Amino acid sequence: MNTKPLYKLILLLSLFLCYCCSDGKKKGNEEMISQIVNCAKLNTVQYNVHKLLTYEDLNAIEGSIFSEKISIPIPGERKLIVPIDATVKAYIDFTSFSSSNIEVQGERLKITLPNPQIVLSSSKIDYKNEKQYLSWNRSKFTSEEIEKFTAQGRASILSSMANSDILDRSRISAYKTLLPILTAAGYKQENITITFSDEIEQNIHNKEILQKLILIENE
Amino acid sequence: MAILKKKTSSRRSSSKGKDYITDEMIRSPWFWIILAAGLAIYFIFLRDSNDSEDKTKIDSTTDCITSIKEIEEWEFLTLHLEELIDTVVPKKLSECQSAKIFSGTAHLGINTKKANKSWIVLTDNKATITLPPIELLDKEIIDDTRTRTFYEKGTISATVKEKMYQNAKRRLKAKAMQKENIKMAEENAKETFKSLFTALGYKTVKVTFKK
Repeated sequence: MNTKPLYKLILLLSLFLCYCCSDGKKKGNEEMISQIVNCAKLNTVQYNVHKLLTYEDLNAIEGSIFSEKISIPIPGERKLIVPIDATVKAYIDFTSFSSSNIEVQGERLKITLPNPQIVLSSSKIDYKNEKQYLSWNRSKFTSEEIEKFTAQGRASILSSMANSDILDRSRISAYKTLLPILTAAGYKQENITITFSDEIEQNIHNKEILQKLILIENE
Repeated sequence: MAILKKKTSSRRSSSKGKDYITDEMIRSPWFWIILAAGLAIYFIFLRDSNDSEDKTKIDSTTDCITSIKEIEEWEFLTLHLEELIDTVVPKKLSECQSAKIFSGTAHLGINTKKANKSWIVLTDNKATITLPPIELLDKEIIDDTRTRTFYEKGTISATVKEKMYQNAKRRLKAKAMQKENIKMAEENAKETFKSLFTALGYKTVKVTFKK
């Protein structure tokens, strides 16, 4: 049996495998975005958050034999921990603020502000404490994979912040920021009322906020 | 005779005792075919292939709030910026290369905590406001969770990644604090305070910046 063509085939196959397993990855051109937005926002509260994102790769080979579905888990462990430090800010958007938001009745002043919103203003991955735990037969996490996970971590931080007390604190802080301006304008503190859009619609937080404000002012 | 030769050769191999792969096996093309097929199956399917079903278990710890700060910042210009940082790390046999696109948001505005005590002076129908200078409201402007790797070859160390991050931060800050951007933020600040005090009933509103 002539084995020369067979060796050539093996050589080609090896080269193909080397190409498949190469670390280098190229992507197409991507646009560099630069966008400028005029705005008028009052940043009221800043939360610094630390989060540990953990991932475990449980990939399995899926297939079917004689119309029976089979799933063979890939042996070995492949785990990742990514620490992230993020800064979340709450703000009140004054972009559409106008005279319609202000109501003056003699000595009394009532201002209606839009609801506070939150934004993740910055984040930083702690590269030095990023850890990968891999069995001998498992490959390292690629940068692309890590980026995919951290993007999910970003969403997780924002959703958990939305459920925290950041919005209530923002309302109180906005009141404290605007109060000196309004008293300087000649209005007495007891005649100033600041409400927020959702309170007009739902009238839920009014009492809580007022109580908090009273406590703060007494302090 | 041929059978005798085979027997003697097998005796030789067994006399060595520890040869699990004999010369005959290595000469056989079937050995190489099976080996190549095995390697192909391992590298294509078993070694974390993209074709296998993605069952990644993603979890995270609860957010640990390290600090809460009440701030009095007025933001007048938001810049969404991106910066490409390319680096090459020479090594003994080859070199590692990485190109990352860092995304950041620069917030330009004023911090009223830095204003003078009498930054608002109000007389009958006139409001005179002296604002502190426009500045970057955040020390950190990169959102690292949005960083994208454009090209990567080899393993990039944490130290190199950190250097790339710092380099991107420096460049983004320089881009954000250009004269035109500061001027736009100042104009916007003037407009905002004018509309606020006009709504409060002041006919003349003068806004200036502290130098």
